[in-house]
Amino acid sequence: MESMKSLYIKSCGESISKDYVWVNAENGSVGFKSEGDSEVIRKNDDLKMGLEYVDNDSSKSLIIYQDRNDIWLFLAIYDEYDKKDLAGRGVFYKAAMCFERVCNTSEKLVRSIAACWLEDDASIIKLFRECITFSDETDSGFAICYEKLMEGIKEAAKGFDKESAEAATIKESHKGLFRSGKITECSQKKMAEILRKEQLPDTNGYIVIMSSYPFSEECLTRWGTWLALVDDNSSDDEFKKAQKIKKRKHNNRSNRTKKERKNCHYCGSYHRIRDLCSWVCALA
Amino acid sequence: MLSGFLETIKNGACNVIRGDKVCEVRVVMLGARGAGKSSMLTAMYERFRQSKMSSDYDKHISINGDEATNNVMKSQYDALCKMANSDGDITNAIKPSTGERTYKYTISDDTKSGEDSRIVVSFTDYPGGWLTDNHRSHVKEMIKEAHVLLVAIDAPYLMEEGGDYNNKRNMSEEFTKLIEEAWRDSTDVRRMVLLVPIKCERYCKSNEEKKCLVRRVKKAYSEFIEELKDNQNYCGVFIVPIETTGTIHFKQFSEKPADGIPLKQFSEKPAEYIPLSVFESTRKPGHDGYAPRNCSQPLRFVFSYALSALIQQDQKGVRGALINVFNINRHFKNALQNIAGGCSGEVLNPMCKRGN
Repeated sequence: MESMKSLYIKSCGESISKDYVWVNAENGSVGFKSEGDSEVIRKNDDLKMGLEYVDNDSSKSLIIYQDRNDIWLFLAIYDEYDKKDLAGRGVFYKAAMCFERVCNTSEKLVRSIAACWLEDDASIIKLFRECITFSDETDSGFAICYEKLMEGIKEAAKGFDKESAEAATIKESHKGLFRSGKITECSQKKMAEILRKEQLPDTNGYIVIMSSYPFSEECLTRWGTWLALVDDNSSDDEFKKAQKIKKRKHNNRSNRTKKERKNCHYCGSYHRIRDLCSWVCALA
Repeated sequence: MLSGFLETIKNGACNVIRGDKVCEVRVVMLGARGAGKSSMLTAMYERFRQSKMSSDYDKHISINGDEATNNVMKSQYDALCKMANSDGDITNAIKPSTGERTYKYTISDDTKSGEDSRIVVSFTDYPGGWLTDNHRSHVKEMIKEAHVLLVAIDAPYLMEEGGDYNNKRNMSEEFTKLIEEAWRDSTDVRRMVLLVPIKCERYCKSNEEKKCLVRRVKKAYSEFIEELKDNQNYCGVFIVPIETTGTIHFKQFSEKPADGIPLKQFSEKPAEYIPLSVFESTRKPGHDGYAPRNCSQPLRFVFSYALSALIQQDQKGVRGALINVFNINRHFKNALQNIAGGCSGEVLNPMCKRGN
């Protein structure tokens, strides 16, 4: 893990004023600052936007981002079963790990942690729960047990078969492998398998993305993404069904209204109590 | 219908546009952490879409969210529906915001092209904790640049226990101070503030109860309202309660959520103690639990403000005279009449010059 330059954690505290913040896990300082870290992100609105969506929305997400010097690995999960915030909601854990790109082991480490996250997230979630706890004594409202967290991440990386990592192939052309649909255990396992077998491309940008946000293929191509698993909202029939029912109800209602709004046969105007008034008009 | 609202809006919404071109009406959410800002945005968006279906404001006017806005709103709407159909278990609620996000809508006249045929309305949402932590100055900047403020008020903390927890939970004093600081030196923009009590299903069962809720808001936020009246700017203040689910009612305060995991064990309750609100579902078996009420209202106010700004801009100079003579912006005017005509709420401070 020598190639890891920094580790940041985003979570929240228990009290009303301790909302979500990034914290440097090693020294506990609040904020997301490191030498050269998000320089590229700040300069490129598209990439910044992409990161924001994944950062904000996912139940479970994974991003691998490369720039000239670093490889960034972002992991995020919403845990609704352990801690509760002041409104009774679950808590997000987000981790951002920065590795030196020049180091030979970085690429393998990133792939191994990512594959572990995709295949079996339970052990990492357990690790987050144990190492990130509410605390009134820190500025962020939560405390991080850095040593234990690093040990756990090392363990996760160890689980990855070293020989197969070494033998991973570099594809001649890294054409984007995109898959959209419901994110399932099976689709995540397939993604993990690819990460095991193939090395990351030597390009910059958001090269690997798994997100519940439905990024379009066009968008992923623009970002130079190599491997992506994104949720596809359009496959969610529940929403469409609800819309259809509401539209049908509305149409029925407006048809009924149109029928009721038939004008008077005698005077040509509309009467609220049609039969009675039409009778009066007929007499007149 | 809100009497005189249209006039009020017309008086107030000028100066939204700086320079000649249409830019953006900026709406900023304000509310404590977990108050329900994101839920409010989602419910507003969904209901406005529904009400648009049932009465065309003007068939040539379209109001569309950008792709990102639609996608996020859709997934949050699913979460809201899921919660409404649970038994008051709010762990299924919309997940907490962990960063700043802007949702954009464009109101455009389909019969015309070019910049002056549309106006963008942007809503900025962010973690509520930013009001007090080191993001405070950033929030202050956002408020300074905002045309409309949507203030989410967690109603049970206002209505229960004599409103003792209101200030702690809804941070009314904190944001009064923040707004005062932000708007102190800016005089060139006229603004609208919407006080929106949410999670208020229990307090809106009858008109009498609703009036009581409005009275409580007026009383609890009297200092805030006075502050805005004294402000050099022209500020319209309205109270618009909304029921985001319609079926999830406040039940009681508790120290433990439904699943029994204690928030914290207290031997003695500290000064900053805030209890947890527990909700129950009033959904009838076999019925849809998602039955929101009044949710399109805040968006009606905002869009009325935006349309009015657009029309105001069209009235400037020779070009404005031509537009008026040939009634070129009639579709915007129709839409404004129709959207503003459907507004209902409590006017506290009409948007006009003090002394008028």
